[in-house]
Amino acid sequence: MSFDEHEGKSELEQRVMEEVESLLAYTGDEEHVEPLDDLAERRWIDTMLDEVETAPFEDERDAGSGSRFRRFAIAAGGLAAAAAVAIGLYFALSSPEVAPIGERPTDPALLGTGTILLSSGELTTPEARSAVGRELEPGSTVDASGGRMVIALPTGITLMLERGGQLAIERLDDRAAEVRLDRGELLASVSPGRRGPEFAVTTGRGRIVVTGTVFSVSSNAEWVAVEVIRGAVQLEEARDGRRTIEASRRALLGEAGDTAIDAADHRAAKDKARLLDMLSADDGATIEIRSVPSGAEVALDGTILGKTPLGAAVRPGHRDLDLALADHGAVRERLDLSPGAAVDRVFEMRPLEDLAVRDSEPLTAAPAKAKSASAVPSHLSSKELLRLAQSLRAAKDWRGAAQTYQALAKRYPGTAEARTALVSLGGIQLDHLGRPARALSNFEAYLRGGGGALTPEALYGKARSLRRLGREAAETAALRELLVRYPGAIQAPQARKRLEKLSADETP
Amino acid sequence: MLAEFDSDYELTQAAAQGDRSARRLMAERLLDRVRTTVRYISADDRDQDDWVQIAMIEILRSARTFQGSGSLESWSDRIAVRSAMRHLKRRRKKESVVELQEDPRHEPEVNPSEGHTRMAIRRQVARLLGTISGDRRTCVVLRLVYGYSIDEIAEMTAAPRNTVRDRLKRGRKQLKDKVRRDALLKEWVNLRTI
Repeated sequence: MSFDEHEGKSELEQRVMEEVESLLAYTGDEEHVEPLDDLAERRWIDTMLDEVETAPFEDERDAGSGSRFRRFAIAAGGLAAAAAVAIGLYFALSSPEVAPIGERPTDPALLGTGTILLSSGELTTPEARSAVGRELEPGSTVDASGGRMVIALPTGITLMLERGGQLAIERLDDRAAEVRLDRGELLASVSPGRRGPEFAVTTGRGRIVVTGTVFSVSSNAEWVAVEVIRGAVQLEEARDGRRTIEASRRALLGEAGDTAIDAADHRAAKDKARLLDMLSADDGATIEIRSVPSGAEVALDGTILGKTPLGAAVRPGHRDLDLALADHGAVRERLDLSPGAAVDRVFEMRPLEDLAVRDSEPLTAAPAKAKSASAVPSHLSSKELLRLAQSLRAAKDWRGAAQTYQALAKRYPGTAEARTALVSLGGIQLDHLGRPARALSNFEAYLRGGGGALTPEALYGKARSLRRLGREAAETAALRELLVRYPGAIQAPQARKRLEKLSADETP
Repeated sequence: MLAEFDSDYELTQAAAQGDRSARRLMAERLLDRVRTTVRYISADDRDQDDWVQIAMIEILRSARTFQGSGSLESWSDRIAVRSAMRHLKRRRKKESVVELQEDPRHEPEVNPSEGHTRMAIRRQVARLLGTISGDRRTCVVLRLVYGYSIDEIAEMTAAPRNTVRDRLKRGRKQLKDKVRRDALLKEWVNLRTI
């Protein structure tokens, strides 16, 4: 196959089209989509196999509203004081089923209890550190004023309550699973093959009904917003009855219409949903991670869990643990987690001095066999290390490439190769390893060194890192600097577009 | 094909009879191909993982229909394409657009530090493909990605041959115009030939 009209086109344009053809051809030898890690692939396939085994084919013909294996994401907010309204709304909207004449209604059967899978951040009570594994009965209140909490409920429901949030478990029986959001932001995941009663979140301004998948809720004094990342959800509002919100749309409860969700918000919600897949109440290992100073961002296999002090019940396996704290050296340790294991670590975060590639060591317990820069051959020159890192990157061995770039930056500081390594390392950390804080440190380290040919890339990388960290003011400054200094850079169009978006968001 | 089964036919029949390990083997073998099909046809739709999951489940549930006369991949392509086309139709109804334009919700994610890797360039090509209308895009994908003939595409998309021929012609022209104007692709080819 070839494109058939090359007359009058430049030689370069013709070559481009030929290359595109060759690039599109599927041979099975090269990835056309981003590769899945083993864990993600296994879990995804397990989900599909469960679905094949548990539901009739006809049920799954259509992915329209009501499909069980869709994932949802909803954000909602409301007055904490309006919780009473939510309860009233719940009773008004979910009247009990009327039993047929001659049949005596039976009491609902309790499905089980909830379990705390993760707690993080500054703690409000002394015992909160050991909250992981604690059971929650209907009527329990979960307060995440210290930091992010994750809770598992029976029948495959997982809830992530962000810092500052509070929810109450209202019902967990064979007729209904209900939680009430008093305040804060909640992301919930309902497993695809779920069998169980209707699951709903009540808020001060309405009720969100989920027939299967993932959702989140947050609290604001003035409004309740619902954002659907995948699939659709049903909203029950006091005056308007039920309405459906489809994927990628956002709606305010009590107000007509809906709008598109920002792409960055969409990605952020998906990242959070991935975290839920890493946790397990059944066969998990318990980790307790603290740092000095506290507040370090904790990531497991590149997925950010929360901030120290942090406890979590995670799926067993070999895991890379990373800690990152602004202006401090990053920490990495390989954890070998067997089912039921308990791992307790305290790390000292050392202030960053010259480069942002310094490792820390745990204060307790010997470091595990971590992949580290020291694993990189020591006899290689700076140029050889750079070539090695580039070849690893070409082979998509992101961790190997990052370690090699780190080794290069540490062993040959000040060389052109080491400075190049900082920018490449930052890019890998940002785009493939999920470590925006560390990426930011490396981009900034390059810029502090006086810049060079890679300055536009470093500035744009810095801006993208700041965006991932939610620091919009600093992101704006970095984008402006890029456009002022390098208005013709290849990154300039994207930088302008992003700046326009940021400006539009600021406009009331 | 894996050692436990002597043929793809045996594999699919075992899967049809509920053998979980056979179903797993099918899923592991076909997942990347189905993801590729959906990625290009869906134009990087945000729900493409759901599209993949739905297509994979349909494939696994249809295992009994595999006759063994062609390849397992071609058979699964037919199911994946039909599944993806249903989603396209649904999305088109929802968005009420005939011709997709560059979607402002999908910011091109140019990654400077990644350089011009083939994956990055494929992402760029996928974005350009995404600006072609759904029916044309499906034909172009089946032709350029998998090399299917016009007859095969007509059968897979349930469209007349002349319609497929027309969609291919117009779709490829649209893609060509986009590719010719794309600075990133030009830079990539230029660097490769230095």
